[in-house]
Amino acid sequence: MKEGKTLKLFRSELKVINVGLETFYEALKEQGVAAIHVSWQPPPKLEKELRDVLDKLI
Amino acid sequence: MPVSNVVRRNFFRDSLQLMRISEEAKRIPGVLDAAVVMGTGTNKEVLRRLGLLTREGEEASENDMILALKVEDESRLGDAISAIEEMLLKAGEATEEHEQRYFSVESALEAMPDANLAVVSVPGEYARDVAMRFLERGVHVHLFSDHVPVEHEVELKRYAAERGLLVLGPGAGTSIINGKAIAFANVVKRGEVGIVAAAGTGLQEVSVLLDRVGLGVSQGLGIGGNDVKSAVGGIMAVECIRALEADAETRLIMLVSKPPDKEVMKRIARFIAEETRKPFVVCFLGESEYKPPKRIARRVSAARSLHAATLDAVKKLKPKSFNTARKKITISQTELSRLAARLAKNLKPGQRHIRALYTGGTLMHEALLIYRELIGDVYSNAPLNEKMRLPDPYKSVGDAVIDLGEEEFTAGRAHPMIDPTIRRLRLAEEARDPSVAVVLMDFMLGYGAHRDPAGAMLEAIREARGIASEDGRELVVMGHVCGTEADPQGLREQEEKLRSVGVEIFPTNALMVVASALVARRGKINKTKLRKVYRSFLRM
Repeated sequence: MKEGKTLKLFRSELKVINVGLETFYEALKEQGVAAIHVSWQPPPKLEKELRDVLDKLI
Repeated sequence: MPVSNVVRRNFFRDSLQLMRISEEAKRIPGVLDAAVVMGTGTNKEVLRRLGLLTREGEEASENDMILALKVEDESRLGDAISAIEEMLLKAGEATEEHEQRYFSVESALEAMPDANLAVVSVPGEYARDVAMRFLERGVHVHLFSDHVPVEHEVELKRYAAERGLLVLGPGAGTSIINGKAIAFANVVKRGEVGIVAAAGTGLQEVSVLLDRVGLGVSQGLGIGGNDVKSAVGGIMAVECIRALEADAETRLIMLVSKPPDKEVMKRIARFIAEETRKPFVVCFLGESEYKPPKRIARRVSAARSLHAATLDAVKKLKPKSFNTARKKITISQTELSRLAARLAKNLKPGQRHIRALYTGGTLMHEALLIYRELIGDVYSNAPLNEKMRLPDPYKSVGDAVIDLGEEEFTAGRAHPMIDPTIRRLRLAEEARDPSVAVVLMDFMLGYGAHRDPAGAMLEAIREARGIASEDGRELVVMGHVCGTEADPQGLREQEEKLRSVGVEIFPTNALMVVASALVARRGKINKTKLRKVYRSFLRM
């Protein structure tokens, strides 16, 4: 059944991983939802430039 | 009084962290005003209007952070800057010591291997990579991020649909899953209506109104505005409808969206006709009424406003309480005309214009549709008709409806549902214009939103009234609070605060819009038009 996984979500207790804005994590905790927060930062620019160069080389 | 800008090159904190730091910085001794922002065009414009921009700030790029300060005297500056620097460092640390913090998706998945939902709000260019890692592990995703390239959206949604997973968004401001508010959402009763929404504040308004008329929400699934465009093809609209059709708790399905592109409209209509059996309310916030094919017309109804969609749901699920429900959120034409006449009583003849300052994009769109029917197209920064686009979104002309959540007001800033600064500035400007009769505003409650959206505007509303009264005018101010008593802010308390500064409160956005037109035109609106709007948008 295609919708099986979604129906399972509807019947389960929410377990949430929040990535990005911390306020959404705080709101989930306030509602008693099991949640953890990933403190996300953009990858450093230099790293990206380096990776692009490496990608070209490889 | 000295104003100073300190620029930190290539330094990033998210807009919410910066808003909190700005508020905290204003409380530093000797500081008169402060703003800590990323150097986007919008932020520089706001700093300029607050009198907080210097040449240093002007030259900052959007990757730089500006610490803008107005202090009592120069000697205070050094201490104030050190204090802010400390706040910035703290913003990177955990809020509570015992809380474990994760720095990668992988470590979080390891810590919570049975996670069933990821809420992702990273900048759009990174959203696909982050979301995909969750989908690969069989985790559903609510993707709040904006500016996700459409090809990334299609890739994520195809991948998810093939595996029976949800991708709610990108650009999904609101979902209600298993009775819990995700991102910007209200606390509403759990119940029998399953909602699929390609319109964030549309989902908020309709879930709140359903709550008010005694119905509840089983699931509220935000799919992002792009889902119904031809590039995406309604992938998640269809998947979500399929899931709600199979969900035993859902007795009625509602779809809320701006009108889909033609091909997508066909696909969705066919799916509703062939693959669903439950009662259905289609709310396309569009110019003409969508007409369900005859063979399903008894089961499927079509509404053009969130107000009407709510009442259509009542009619299908609890036909006997339809009249009671209608009375809870609507007043008759006669009563509304009387109210409008009372509000307009002291206006000067030259005060003819409406200025609507919205934080909710869907509510703003609903307003545009109603005004079009009642008084013709109005100016906007997101108009129905390009001819009515405001040349300068920061300056209203004629009757104007502003979406303060649009890009030009939000680049590098927290959304106006959280940060009231831009609306405060704008309200004062509208009050200075002697042609303005009425200002209307929405106040969005719920999780994610400002902790006290009414309270945050009270001083600005008093000031606006003061500006008008110094000029010998009165200003009519209207408000609609989109929320419930169970929301963290509490509906009644918020409404009372607004009433205490003379704001006229309306139970629905649609009703407020009709009332504002009656005030601005002193009741002189073509009777047939008014009757038609009442029937089509308010179901009276």
